Amino acid sequence: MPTRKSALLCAASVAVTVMFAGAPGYAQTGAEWPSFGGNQLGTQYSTLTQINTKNAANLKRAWTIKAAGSTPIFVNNTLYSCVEGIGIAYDPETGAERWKADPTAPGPDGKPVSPRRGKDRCRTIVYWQSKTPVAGAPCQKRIFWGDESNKFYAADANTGQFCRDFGTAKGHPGYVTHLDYDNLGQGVNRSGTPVIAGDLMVGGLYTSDAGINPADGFVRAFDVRTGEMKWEFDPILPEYRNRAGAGNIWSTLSADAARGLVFIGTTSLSNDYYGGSRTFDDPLSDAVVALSMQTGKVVWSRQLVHHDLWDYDIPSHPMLATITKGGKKLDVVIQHTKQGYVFVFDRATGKDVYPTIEKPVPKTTVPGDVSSPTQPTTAMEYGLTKLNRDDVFGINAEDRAACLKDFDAATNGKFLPTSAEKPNIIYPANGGGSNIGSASYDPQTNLLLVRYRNTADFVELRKPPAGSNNPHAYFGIFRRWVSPLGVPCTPPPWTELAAFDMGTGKRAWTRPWGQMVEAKGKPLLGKEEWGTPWSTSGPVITAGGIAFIGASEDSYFSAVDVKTGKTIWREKQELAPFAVPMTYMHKGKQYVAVAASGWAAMGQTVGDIVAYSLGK
Amino acid sequence: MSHSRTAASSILATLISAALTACCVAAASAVRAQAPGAASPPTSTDTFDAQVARGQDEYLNACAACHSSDLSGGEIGPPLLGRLFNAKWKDKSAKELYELTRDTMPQGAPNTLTTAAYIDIVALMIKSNEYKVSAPVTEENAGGVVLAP
Repeated sequence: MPTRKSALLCAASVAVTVMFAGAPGYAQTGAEWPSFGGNQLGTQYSTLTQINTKNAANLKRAWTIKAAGSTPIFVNNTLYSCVEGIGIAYDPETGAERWKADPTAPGPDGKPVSPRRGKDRCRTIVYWQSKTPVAGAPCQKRIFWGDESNKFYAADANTGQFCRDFGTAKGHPGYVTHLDYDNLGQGVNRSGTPVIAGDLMVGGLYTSDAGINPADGFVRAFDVRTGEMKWEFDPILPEYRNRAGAGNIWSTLSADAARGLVFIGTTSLSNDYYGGSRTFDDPLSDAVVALSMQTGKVVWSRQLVHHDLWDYDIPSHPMLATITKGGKKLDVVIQHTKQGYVFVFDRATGKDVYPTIEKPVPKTTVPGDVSSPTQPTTAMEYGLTKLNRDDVFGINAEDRAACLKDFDAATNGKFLPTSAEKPNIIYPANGGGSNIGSASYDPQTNLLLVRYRNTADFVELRKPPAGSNNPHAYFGIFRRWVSPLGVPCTPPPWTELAAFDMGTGKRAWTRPWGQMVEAKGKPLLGKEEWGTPWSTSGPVITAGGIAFIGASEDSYFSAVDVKTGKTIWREKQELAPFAVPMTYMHKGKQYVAVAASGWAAMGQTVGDIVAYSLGK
Repeated sequence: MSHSRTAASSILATLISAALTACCVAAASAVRAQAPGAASPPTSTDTFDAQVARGQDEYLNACAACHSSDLSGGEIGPPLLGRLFNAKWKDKSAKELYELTRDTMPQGAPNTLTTAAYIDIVALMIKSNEYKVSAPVTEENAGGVVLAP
């Protein structure tokens, strides 16, 4: 095993006394949509009813923002979005730009906040306002956003001027960065998606958990005013930090300020598919973790994949819903997963609300690796669970023959580790099952909607080439398991949208979602019942009984009846809306908006933000 | 603290972490950029196909985790072939593709492969996109190699 070269002199998490208030008043959906997923609870639900099942067929385009980035938030009578490191404010009635906060533009002193900004897409922007505002002072309301250059910027939500008190102590007024701290490895890529928790901006470090020596998956809490780092959390136990990295939080976070808890979902440790370098106890990887807002210490945690050999990161924020079960209202954490289970835990304690069953799974045969004998499962399962040879798909005989050739050359099975000898067909794929923002909860019907895929990956273990810097005995390589034409080899439907009754844990309805329109860059129309091969994100639900959702390569943005799953309305966009939508009310009119800018995984990063309403 | 590494290749870095009112100091070793040794520089007897084969090994080691082993893209890495890639790179030069790859990849650790490895990976992308190139690509000639189907 590698030699430990450093001594941990003290715990990385630092307890700091921080004053917290209760849940902020702006953390309510309704007219406003102040955060990704609606509010810090992340249920992807709005109480608005103006657009409803009776009139949604009349939706018309209200405005379009070109060359735009993330789905906006709406708060402070303003829409805020971010793209390529820039925060932008838009008029909520017209979508017209009000101002841009570009960190590379000269500030009042002639100097930019940063000489460079990230050029990648921006997942979301978040909002904070002071409960004790100082009259006439700037930055009493702030927006924060991250970028690929690993910065979290802060700007005045009224003017777009950068908040120069934020990050000043570290020598860069206007932003904070994980790069100011020791991250214990390489590949510190993007700053993760932040969440506001009281007077803290909490953000994870987005690194590649597939890498050779990635950074640890730190989460850091920064004072919203000064940018002072109040605490940091490292998901790797101190005694093992010289042996593995990552466990990072690349997805969204959630917070329950009233309980003083921040919720994160971690990824696997490095590297993917082979665990011989991390055969130690790592309870905080692939885990839902409730952290104390005050100290960053673990209040409770539940590991949802033991010793991950399938790249089953926790892909989305723990959803903080209040469900109805057995006639009682229960504050819970709902976690949907890549591996295709919905887990439901008591929010305060982490105990099961629906049973988690440790199911025996096959052992690894790879020398040096030790797999877990069991994996956590629940009865709320989705995604491909079994694959028979006869079920292997092909859009024509030649394609099917190629898929069968792969099938015969490989092993396959849910939770089957990849061997050193044969390729392995892994399902659900590393994109899920479900993924970021794939679920929303409706308190009116008690339904949880989940968008998920039934596709698979084709994975092989390789030994690093001679002279490689890769210290692991093996590394995994994957490709989407598709035919020569680029069509999934797994049987359709490839994407489905399903509703689970949270009172019983049973499915209420399931339908195929989306449609194949091309494969390997060439037009190829699939049947409607096949669903779309490639999808990510998911719906938001409104009290009008509608789930708004894009999440398909066919580029449609749709309104679906929550109770039945039937499409009420849809309109095709220029690029696919692979983002979680939002909705808001302004001057008596409800709008629903979404970033229709394609998918970075398809090489698309910038496109439109579109909004719909019930007409003029 | 930091990760798997060998005595010969690691650089000891002592870093001050988390300086707050109650201070915490962690001594850490950290692996920094290391040059992989798999790629050998092109020689006068090199062929484009041999270069592509080397590029394949380099690609699997350094790129496939995000872009997938067949260049078709993954959940976070965009496809390196097909319509969208072609729309971006058609008629540009191999030098531009090399420089962008070198300056941005692997993500979070750019410019950590050898020049020869980057050039070999570019050759793989050229071959995979069926651009009409048949002679080995070098750092010197890459400016004149046009990515034309």
